Amino acid sequence: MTNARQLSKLDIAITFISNIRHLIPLIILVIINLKGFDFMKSLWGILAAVLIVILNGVFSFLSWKKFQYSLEQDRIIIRKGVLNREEKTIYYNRIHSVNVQQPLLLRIFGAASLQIETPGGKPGQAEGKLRVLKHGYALELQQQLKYLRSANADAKQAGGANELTGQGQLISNPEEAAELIAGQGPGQSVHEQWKTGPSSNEPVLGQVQAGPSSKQSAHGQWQAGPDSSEPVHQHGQAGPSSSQSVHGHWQAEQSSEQLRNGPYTEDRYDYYYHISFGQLLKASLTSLNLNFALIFIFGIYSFADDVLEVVFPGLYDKLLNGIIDQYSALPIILLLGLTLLVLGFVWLLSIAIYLIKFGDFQISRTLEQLSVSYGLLEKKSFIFDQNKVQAVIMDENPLRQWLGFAELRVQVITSNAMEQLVIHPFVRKKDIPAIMEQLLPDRKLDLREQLLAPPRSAYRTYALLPLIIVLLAAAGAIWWWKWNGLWLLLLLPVIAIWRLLCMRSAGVWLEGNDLILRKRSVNRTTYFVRRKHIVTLSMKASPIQRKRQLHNIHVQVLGSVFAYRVKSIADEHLLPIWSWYSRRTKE
Amino acid sequence: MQRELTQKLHPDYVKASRLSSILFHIVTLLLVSGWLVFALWKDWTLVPVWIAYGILLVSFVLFTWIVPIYEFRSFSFEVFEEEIEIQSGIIFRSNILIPMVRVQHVEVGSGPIMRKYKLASVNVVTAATKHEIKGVHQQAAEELKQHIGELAKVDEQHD
Repeated sequence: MTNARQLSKLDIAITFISNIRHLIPLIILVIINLKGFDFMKSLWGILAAVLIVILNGVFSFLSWKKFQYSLEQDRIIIRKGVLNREEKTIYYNRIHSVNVQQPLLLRIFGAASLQIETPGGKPGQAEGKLRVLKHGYALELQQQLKYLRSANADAKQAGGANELTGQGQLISNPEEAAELIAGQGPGQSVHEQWKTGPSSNEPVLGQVQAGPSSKQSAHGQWQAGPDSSEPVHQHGQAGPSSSQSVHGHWQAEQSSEQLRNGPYTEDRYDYYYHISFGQLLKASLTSLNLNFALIFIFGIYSFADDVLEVVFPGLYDKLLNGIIDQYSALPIILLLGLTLLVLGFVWLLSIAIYLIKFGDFQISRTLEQLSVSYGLLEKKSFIFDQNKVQAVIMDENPLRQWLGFAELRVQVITSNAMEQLVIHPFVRKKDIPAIMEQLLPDRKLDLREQLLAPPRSAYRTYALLPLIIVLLAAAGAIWWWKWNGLWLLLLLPVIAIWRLLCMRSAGVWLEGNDLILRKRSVNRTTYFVRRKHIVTLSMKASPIQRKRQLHNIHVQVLGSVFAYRVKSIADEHLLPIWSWYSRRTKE
Repeated sequence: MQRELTQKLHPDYVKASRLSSILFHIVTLLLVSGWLVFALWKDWTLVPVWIAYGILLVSFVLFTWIVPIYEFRSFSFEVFEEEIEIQSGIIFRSNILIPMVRVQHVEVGSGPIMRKYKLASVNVVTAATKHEIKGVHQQAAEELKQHIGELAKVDEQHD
């Protein structure tokens, strides 16, 4: 390995801290049980704690020490691992994209991580990762890698680097190598070249701006050049005369014509979007994403007793007794109040969770590759080919539906993710066609409100079973709690209305090669599926449905565990779909 | 959905299905009886045992006499040039369409009871789903496997 480089020394601190972060649950457990946990107060306990800290420090240091990477003529080599050594070689021309990311912890230290993605790489897990670099250096390296990549690709096209330059020997200095590959004179190092290079070498992805004034764009500070109307990526700032706003707007490249002719078209974003804080806040306020919060509450519930006991000894009993004393007097108001309090808390919590989950959401499209990343604490990022999209899914919770907003997802198959990826967490429904035009040009969505809905006679198939279940539950409750069980009967009208709404929302539509399915459980979900992506199509019917000439339609798509299904659509609407999908009747 | 499917299961499927139901119920009967003995010995309540016997009786009648016949009657399939259609389900009837281009492979398998009647089941596997044609003659199953395998090779040119 020649010219080996190392990560920033900050890596030691950051590894140290993130190792400790893994221990947080343990620490909490120990603190809570401190009273009954004499071991921790003994000399041995303290010694053990100190030992853990020291070991962690040593390990962090070693893992920094053993992490080396070097830029070779045609590849980057990464060596790492304290006990298990690992060496990874990535050829520049295989690099698909180079991302610089700043998770919270790194941001605090002014550091960043650099991720090298290759087409075969797993999503959300970069092929090569340089954990901790100074932010400025990471961006520099990003550009350098991109430069080397394209230089390599060019050289390869011209028949190989060595032949081109007439030199057979391996060149150890990467900068020198890249110069030779690019056919440049020796005077200028790559380093400088990509930074200040001629206009044709304008770096692209990171928008390190190479304008005439680019020398002032020192580390970490990004400026859009005076002429640039490109969207500014990362944590950029728009230059004074930049015509486009940076945050929160869908940005299409406008001056792409001239730029497209440049040598690095490959890297150019065809589409880029970064969520603004305002939109994120609106999205979280309307998310109604209670399940996360509920799980969280259940999670802390087990701790709650212990915590309360430690913080306010005796409070729990007092409170409980208080409630029981008052129970006869004003139970309903108290219960209602408590319920509202808990619900309010859950709501706030769900907002916070949503903000953390989808914070810093960004999506970009480069040629046919889409790249999505989001998350404040835990950064998730996915890259997939637009041809791998099996279905587009529009999800509207009741609140958002009322306000005219939706969440857009896609069903993709990737090597380790079989799930629906959010490609836009919060979008005005009116804007969807325009956005899809740019994001997935071959998937124009036809957002019609009126689909072929289940007929009125289908209501029985929607409501009968849930109502029977509620009745049985009510019967059980009455048998068990006597008169109080009658309250459960109040659920009957709720269920009846809910099922009516479900039926009203359901529907199918056939539009060219697209099948549109819509259903509601609580959220209204619309699936847009292309014929070629349907693995199997099936129709199912119970005797009641057969009598009324209704069927459920099930559409199985790759990447989804369950089929997309819509209940009780009239046969007259389903038969065209059946023959549309059938290979036989078509001819 | 709108066309008649001509292929049926082999009539012996009913016999095989009955035999396996009888065997299953005998084993379960022995287990429940064991439980009865244990409950008598330990002086436990016998209510669950009687319930289990009741369920067992009903399920015996259902799955030995009624279900196999209706299963046989309601199951039909057909292999077309470009797709397979399978109809199944006694109460909840389902029609499924599997395009040949989606078929990944075909599996043929048979248990000891099925083998006794020279029957086998054919599993048509796609990337996402698996569909069973359970109970055709062994030779027919082999032919079916070959046939579908041939047809599934064809590339799809159009969307």
